[in-house]
Amino acid sequence: MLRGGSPEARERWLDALRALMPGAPMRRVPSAITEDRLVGGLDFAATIAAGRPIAERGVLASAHGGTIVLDAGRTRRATWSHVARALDDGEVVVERDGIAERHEASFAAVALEEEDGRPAPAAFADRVAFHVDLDGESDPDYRAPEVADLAAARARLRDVTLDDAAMRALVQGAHELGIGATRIVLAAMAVARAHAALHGRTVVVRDDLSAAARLVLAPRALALPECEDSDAQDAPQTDAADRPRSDADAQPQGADTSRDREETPPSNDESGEALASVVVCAARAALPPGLLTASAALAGRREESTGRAGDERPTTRGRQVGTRRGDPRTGARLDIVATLRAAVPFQSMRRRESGANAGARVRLRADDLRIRRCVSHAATTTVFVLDASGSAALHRLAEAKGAIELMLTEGYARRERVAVIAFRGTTAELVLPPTHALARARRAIAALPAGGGTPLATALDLALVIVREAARDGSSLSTIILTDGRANVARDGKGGRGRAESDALDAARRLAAAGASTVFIDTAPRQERFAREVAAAMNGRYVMLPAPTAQGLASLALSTHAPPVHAHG
Amino acid sequence: MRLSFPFSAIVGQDEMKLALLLAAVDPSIGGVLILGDRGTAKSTAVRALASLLPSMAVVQGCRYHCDPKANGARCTECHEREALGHKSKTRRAHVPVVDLPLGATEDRVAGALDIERALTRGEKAFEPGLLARAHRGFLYVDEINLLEDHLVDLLLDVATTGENVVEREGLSVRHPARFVLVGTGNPEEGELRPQLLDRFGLSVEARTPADIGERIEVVRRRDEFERTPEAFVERWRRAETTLRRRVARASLRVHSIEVPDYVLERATTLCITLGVDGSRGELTLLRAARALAAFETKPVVTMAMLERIAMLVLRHRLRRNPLDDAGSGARIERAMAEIFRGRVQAATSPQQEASGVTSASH
Repeated sequence: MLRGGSPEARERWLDALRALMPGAPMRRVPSAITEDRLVGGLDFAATIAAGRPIAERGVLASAHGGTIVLDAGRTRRATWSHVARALDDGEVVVERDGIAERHEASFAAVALEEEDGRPAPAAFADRVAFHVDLDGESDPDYRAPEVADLAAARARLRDVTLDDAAMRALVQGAHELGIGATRIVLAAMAVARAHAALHGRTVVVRDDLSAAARLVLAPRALALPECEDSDAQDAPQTDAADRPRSDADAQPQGADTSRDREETPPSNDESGEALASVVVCAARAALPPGLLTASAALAGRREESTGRAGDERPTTRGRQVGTRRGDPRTGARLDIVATLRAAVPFQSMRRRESGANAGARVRLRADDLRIRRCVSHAATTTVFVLDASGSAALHRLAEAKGAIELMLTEGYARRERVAVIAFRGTTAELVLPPTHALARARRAIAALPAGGGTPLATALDLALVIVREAARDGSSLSTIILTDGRANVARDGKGGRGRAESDALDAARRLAAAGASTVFIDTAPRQERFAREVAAAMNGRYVMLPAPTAQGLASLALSTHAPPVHAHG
Repeated sequence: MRLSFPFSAIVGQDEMKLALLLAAVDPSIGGVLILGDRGTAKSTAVRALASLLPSMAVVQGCRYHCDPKANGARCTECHEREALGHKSKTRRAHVPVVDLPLGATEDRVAGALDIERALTRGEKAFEPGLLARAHRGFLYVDEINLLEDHLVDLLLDVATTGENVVEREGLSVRHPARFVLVGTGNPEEGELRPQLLDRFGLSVEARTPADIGERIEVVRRRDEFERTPEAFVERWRRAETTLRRRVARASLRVHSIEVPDYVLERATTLCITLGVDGSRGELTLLRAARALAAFETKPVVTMAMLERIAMLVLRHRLRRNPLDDAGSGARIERAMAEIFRGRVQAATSPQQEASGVTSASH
């Protein structure tokens, strides 16, 4: 995982990696890659031209022995699952279009993550050893190892032993850092071995364990135990050169040959406990303050990336409503019958043109191809925008929460996704990104603290971001805003009713312009003019909380969804 | 083909192993759902199951590996061959364990027009999909909670009728498709549809072991396997063979296991107490208990056996509040304590308790 940095920095990193692996393939996986190009399948054009099936290898198989590079923000879910599968099995199995083949596909995978972009899903992140942050400072003295040194290390790797105490230390250390997955411990072991091999050893020693802890465990730590080992307190200053954040250790082999350090005694001289604390302390030293919360947040976003994202091509799913001319390689489904039907009238002409060459009975040309037009039941998402300010707390925040719970129950029956935005003080926060896990939504809402001002405009702006995202996915979305409408914090976070209200009206109009379907639920005890104005500005339905029962509210929320059938293609 | 991690070498996860073994002994139990955190050997266990399954007799040349003995439930192609007077030969084949990958298209799952033949020869031929391949075997869906809704519908249809019907692209094909559905998933990533939940006979909650010793053993074995797969598999060969034979023998014996009336009664009481709808709960309780008895080479189902499988069978069948994330496990525990305890101790001998799967699988 290569996070952050400028595009140029990421390219430089990839160049450095390529230089270390001369002759090995490096393949980019384009974000819009189709499944057949990824794992291999029928070469459509060649098949039609030749009149017999011609298979082609996919990108994964052609990267065997080398590297694939993915763009985390734009890669489709199906692609991730194929890559994860290949990383597990070291091969790809092609079973489509009448082809059944197996290709070796052992490769290193690099995913590029933008600082604020969609992260790679957890299922992928768990399968790669290194999480490199390019935004850290780099070490000017760093020199990449020679290719020959790497080859020697690779030859040595087979003989490197990692003893029982070292294994225990990594398991224990990972456990204390809150890392549960076995895969990650195995990756740490592999890194410790590679580190030893790179340093000319055939036994894993303390130093190798520290490197594995810094490079593999630290970026995933979810807990930060106390560091008890006084001996390891010197870790920060000695290891500045190979923190995982620096360019230095961004090298895939954890290469730091430039470092000439006193050899530490082999690990079997030490007790397991002491070694485990070496692991924990090394990981601790590599973590800048505040990173832990960041990594927990990132882990959460990874989970979301794993969930059903609305990033699948709508034309490939659902019920067919017709056909149109098009290229099936873009991922749409070929309509064979319509294709043949389109080709039939020209057969005798084409036969005359091309002479009586053998092979194809049906002469197809690219413009005969017909693909299906489908309608799919697009995912519906309900975004709750919940006012958790002091004034709202006064005016039955609990009742609003209760109403949301009821709506969630309804949503469960209909398999909807929900998202929750809460606003208070000076900010609005996406407490829960769109998810199917409604129990989590309930927990998120129940745990919301209350108090502070009412930054209504900021909250509506955030809702607009979600609305736009949903529009891109083609999913239907409704926004439910629960507030008393007492906007008193403007967009810039400053207090003052006048600015706050004009900002809120502006944000509401933008929502309307984006075509958002909205319900404004007024939680104030008495109707206020401004709340109605905001509701009108966003073209939303206005409801007073006391008026309907909570049950009525739930059905009202559901009725605002746009009809779930969307035509695509 | 890569070697798969031996089933007997999986550390801990006893509930998961038991559920899979029971389904292997008696496929009519109806599938296993495994929910749990990532990295809890869910996929490993399912893939490892393949090598434990006994072989089966199939009609030679049949694309759906029909059972030569089952006359009614064979595919149309077999029937046609028979009508023409062809004698079908029989061969032995492995019970298939078929992966349904995330992102699979409907054509690949249900089967579709054979594009190659349509394009190159202008023929309208059916290319069987994953459902055909899984007939009489296991269909494994990793991350089943993320499966697209229209594929879930398809699975439900086929699971209900035991037949896959394809009516599209001018094709009209039906073929038998009876399989044991095995699904794994992480519940944090999305809910499972209630209708799909109902299809599973057994459900398991897999957890990361909290015990450090156990985790070290997990890592040690996994590491050994990855570094020297052949040697590792060789080392476990005997345990695997023993287990495979045990499953094969149990599956022959399972239908002659006796279920005393008082056990039947308790099963019914348990279902009523917990408010489980329909009779599928009771039926599955009996089948699972019978499979357990067969696996442990006992002629009669005991109360203790019923108690051991009750959680697996009932956990996912309780009507639950979708927003209540407290498991239904506690409710089942309570009901079982009320109904069983006291009697169980009297009805079981200590030996019986000791001969669990755990001890047998190592």
